[in-house]
This record gives sequence, structure tokens and C-alpha cells, in this order.
Amino acid sequence: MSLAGKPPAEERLRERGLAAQLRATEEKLARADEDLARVLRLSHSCIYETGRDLRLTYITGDVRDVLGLEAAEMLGRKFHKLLRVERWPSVDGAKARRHAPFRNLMCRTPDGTRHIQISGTPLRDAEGKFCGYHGAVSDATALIKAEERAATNYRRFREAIECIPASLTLFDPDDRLVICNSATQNFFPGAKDLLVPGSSFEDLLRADIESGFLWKTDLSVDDWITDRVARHRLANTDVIGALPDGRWIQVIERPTTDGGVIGIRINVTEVKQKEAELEVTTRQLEEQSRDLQRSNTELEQFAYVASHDLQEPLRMVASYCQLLKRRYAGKLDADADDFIGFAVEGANRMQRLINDLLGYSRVGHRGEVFAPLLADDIVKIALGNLQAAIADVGGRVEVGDLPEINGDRTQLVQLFQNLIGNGIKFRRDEAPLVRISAVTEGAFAQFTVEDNGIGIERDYVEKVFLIFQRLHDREKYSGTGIGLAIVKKVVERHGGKVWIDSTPGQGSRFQFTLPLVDRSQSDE
Amino acid sequence: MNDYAPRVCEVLLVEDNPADARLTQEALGESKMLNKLHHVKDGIEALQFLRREGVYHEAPMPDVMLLDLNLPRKDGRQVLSEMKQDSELRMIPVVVLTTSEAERDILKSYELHANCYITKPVDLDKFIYIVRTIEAFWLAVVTLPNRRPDNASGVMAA
Repeated sequence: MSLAGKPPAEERLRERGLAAQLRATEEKLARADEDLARVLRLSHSCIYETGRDLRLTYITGDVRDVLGLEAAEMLGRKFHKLLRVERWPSVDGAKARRHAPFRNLMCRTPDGTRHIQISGTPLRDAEGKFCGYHGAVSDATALIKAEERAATNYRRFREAIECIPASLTLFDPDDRLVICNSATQNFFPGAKDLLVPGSSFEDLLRADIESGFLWKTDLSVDDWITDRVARHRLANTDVIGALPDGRWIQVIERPTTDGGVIGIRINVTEVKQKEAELEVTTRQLEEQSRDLQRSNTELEQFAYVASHDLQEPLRMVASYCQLLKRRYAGKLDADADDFIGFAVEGANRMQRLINDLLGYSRVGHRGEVFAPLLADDIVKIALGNLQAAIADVGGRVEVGDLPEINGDRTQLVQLFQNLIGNGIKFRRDEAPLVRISAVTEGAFAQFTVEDNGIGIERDYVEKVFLIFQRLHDREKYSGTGIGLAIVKKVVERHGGKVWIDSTPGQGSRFQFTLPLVDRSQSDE
Repeated sequence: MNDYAPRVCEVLLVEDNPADARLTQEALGESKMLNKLHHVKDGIEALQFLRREGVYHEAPMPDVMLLDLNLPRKDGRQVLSEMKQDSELRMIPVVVLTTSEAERDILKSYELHANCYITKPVDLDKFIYIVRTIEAFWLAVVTLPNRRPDNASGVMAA
């Protein structure tokens, strides 16, 4: 026996070597077991094996954690008896064949709280005969929840874009349609069938054009498509154009972060029509305003020229009437004296009228450039001019704090002079008192000039600002009735308003607004 | 200092409106001073008068000139401008007497060295007062340069 012939030392050595090898293998095996357990734990999975009858013969991993069942109670039973099957495995939509590999048997744990995904690979014996499955069971709850969330988000997104009255398209970086809303059909009437994911932008255009839907262009169809596709890639379009059916469409294209293109198409026909209508209306208004301005200017020019040119011959009439009176008064008979007297008086009155008309027309005709003015200074100048008239009747003028305003010095002096003069002139028996004050209202100063005069009857309040409107007989209160017309014109030239409150027998209160100095601009 | 020797003062009135001219004449006529009013109707006649051309070859050198601005053919501004470029004529005091109150007319007149600018008042009494004031000032108060040598008797005698 060769074995018996071997020396015992050699035998021992060999045994020792085998023992060490065995130990190493056992360690490796234990290590592999540990690794498998760790993998199963980390992936929240189990692995299993069944017999030919699909009853479980083996299952390992954190069975209780994953399935909520004990491994022991599962052995010898089938998955679909243990768990609630929600979806049988399918391959391309069809039910998987018997004994074929499967990936997605979807179940729920008996308590319904967790989703389980089971995959399986058929086991075959040496002759290729099916003898069971082995595979993995994993907790798919997080995955399913994420899928549900994604589905919800997608549904919301769809609903949202469906609500938009405009067309919304999303193309991927290869210019293939990803999604669009149904309103898009209105904008690609010839390419409705192509409005499905995967269609290329170019195909959409071509189909649309072939159905006769081309934007107005001088280019050939191919050139136009090439150009249009290039612009679509650039994704910075924002144009409004007319379609052959008369609609106006606004197209906006913007890039997505992954290199796709979002397109928005809006029917702006109504807006365009409104714009056109508005343009017509605006043009008409402008024309009317120009006409009005022209006739106003002509009127002012006329008043100016008329009053200016009438002044000269009238000066002659008046002067020679005066000369007649000077030389011949008392030298002819009494009638002649009367006649000369009337002629002089008529000429003088006409002179005043024309002079006033000239003054009135100058408000529009010869304005100075507006400048910042202290209203206080303006009132002082006006009071200086009225000094004698005020002193004559023992009048008093009280002036409150007045702001700095923006305006035409000469005209504003005249404005205050006319109003103060008015208060002094239309006095009652007591000494006239005029009060001037102001408050600021936004960009305007609101002035008040109050008197204690005779006041104005309600019926005449509107009339006082009309040119040559006199409310009293000439004997009692002289004047042509131009003063307040000039006041109104000056205020309006300054962009302000003037109005009046009056109590007959107690006084009148004139109020008007004038622009304040705009500090925000003058500081620059 | 002033020589009040009674002599006729020559006044040249340049005015296209005869009624206006007459009025000035009447106003001067009411004055106590000895004066002679010469009236021309436009700028061309005015310069002919001053230069003693044509029918004006015997015209005297005016002591003072009353000049309207708006005149036919050649207006007052041109007359003023031409006079002030002439070494002799520029010495004649020119009173611009016009109905214009326009700032630009006033400015232009003084730029052209008018001696004064007066707006004709509308009222006759005021007008008469102003004409007399002009007369009193220019013909009595101020001292004017000697007249043209050929107009001065002394030179004539020499």
C-alpha cells in the first residue's frame, strides 16, 4: 500500500494543510453570508427559491421587515396566497408566458401598507425541465410613491397647460415634440395628426405648409422652412405675423435648460383689431385736436391782429374827436357839443375794449417761458400797481403764506391784479377787504382770493369768466368785463383751474390752482 | 451855457399816416416854440431829405428827427441803420415814435443807436404832452452839435 508506506510526518503535514484550507474556506463563506445579508438589508430585499409547484422552498433576508411576515410561515406557500397581487408580470403589455423570467410582479403586503416588487428567473434541471423560480423580493413602496407623485405632477402639468388659451409646445434638443396642449391644433391646422410626441418641428411645418398654411413670405418653401427651423433652434423668437386666414399670431420661443425649445403661440387678432381701431380713433382725435388747436391759434391770431390793427384807425378817430372837443367845445352850438361828447365817449370806450381784447389775446399770443416765482413777490407787484385804487376806497388786503410757483411773471401779476382789483372795485358800503391765501395740493398750489364785496348771483357765476361779460350797468361799475376772462385764460395757460363761490351781499371767493415748482427736476 | 438865440428849429417827421402826421403837427403847433415841421412819408424820402437829394436839395439839416418804425418802401429800422453809418447824419438825434410796444422793436431801435424810443399814447392829451416834451427836451434842454457848415451863417459869410 503506497499510503501505508508514507511517513507519518508527511501525513500530518498534509492534514494540517487541509485543515487550514478548510478554515479559510469557512471564513470566506461566512464573509459571503455576511455580505449577502448586508446587501439584502441595505436594499430592503429578500431572495427566494420555489419548487416546481411555485411553493416557496427558501427565503432569506430581512423577511419580516420587508414583507411583514415570518420566513417560517411563508415556506411551503405561494406568493400570491401570501400577498395581495396588484399586477401580474407582463412583457410588452401582454401577460408573461408560463415559466418565463419576470421582473415586475407587483403586490402589496397583507396590511396594505407596502408595495412589493418580485422578480424571478426559472430554474431548470439538467434536461432543461422547469423546476421552480428563484429571484428577489424588494420593497418598492418608495419607488411607487415617487411614480405616483410624478404621475400627479404630470397630470397637474397637463391640466395646467390645457387651461392656457394659447398653444404651448415643448421640443427636445433634437427638435422632436415632447408635449403640447390641445390649443396647439388651432395653430397647426394642417398638421393636427402630427401633434404627438416624437414629431419633428420641421415635419410639422411642412405638413402645415402643404395644407396651404404659410406665413406671408418672399422665400421659397424650402428656404423658408430652413430659416424657420434655424430660428426655432435659436429659441429667441418673439414675432407677430399674419396667417393666410387673416388671423394674427404672436410666436414666442425660448430655450429650456436641457437645450429644448418651448414655443408659445397666441392668437392676437382681437388685440390687433383693437389696436387698429385705436389707431384710427387716435388719429381722428389727433386730427381733431390739431384742427382745434389750429382754429384756436387762428382765433387768437385773429383777435390779436384785429385788436392790434384796429387800434391804429381808432386812435385817429379818438384823437381827432378829442381834438375837435379841445378846439371847438363851446364854440359851436349845444347840439354840436353833445355830438362831439358822444363821439369822444364812444371812441374812448371802443379803445378800452380793443385794448382789453389785445391784452386778452396776448395771454395766448405772447407768453413768456415759465420760471420759478415767489407768489408773494407777484402779489406785491400786483398790490403796487393797485396802490392808488386801494387807497382811494380805504381798502385792505391781507396776504397769507404763499408758495413758490412756476409760471409767467407778467401774466401772473395781471391775474392777481385783476382778482384783487375786482374785490376792491365791486365793494359794498363798508371798506373792502381782500384776503389771499394758498394751500398745496399735490403738484399744484390752490390759491384763494376772498373779498367782502357785493358777490355774484348764482345764475351769473358761470358767466363771469366770459369775455366782455358785464353784470352791472356802466354807471355804477366801470370796465369792459375782460378782467375775469383774462384770469381764466392765464390760469388755464398754466394748466390750472379756476372757480368761484359767492354769496350775494357778502362777498366772493375765487379759487384757482397754479403749478408748484417741481423740485425733483430742478435739483438734477 | 445854452444859446437861446431865437431861431427856427427844424423837425423832420417820418410818418406814413397823414392823420398821424397832422396830429403831430397840431401838437407842435400848440407849442410856444418856434419850430418848422418837415414831413416825409417813407424811409426813402427821409434819406433823400437828409442827403438833400432831388426835390429836397434845399432841405435844411433837421435838429431832431421823429421816426416811425413801420413805413412803406424802406422802414424806420433801415433808415436808422443807414443814418448811424453816416458820419454826419449819425449826429442828428432820432426819436423813434411808434405805436409798437413790442420788446423786440424797442431793443432793435436802441441797438441801432436810436436816441430814444417813445410809444405813441392812445390819449390825445397825453400825445400832446409827449410831443411837447420831446420838443422841449431836444430843442431847448440839450445842447446839440453845431449844424452843418453850409447851414451856419458864419461860414456862409466867410
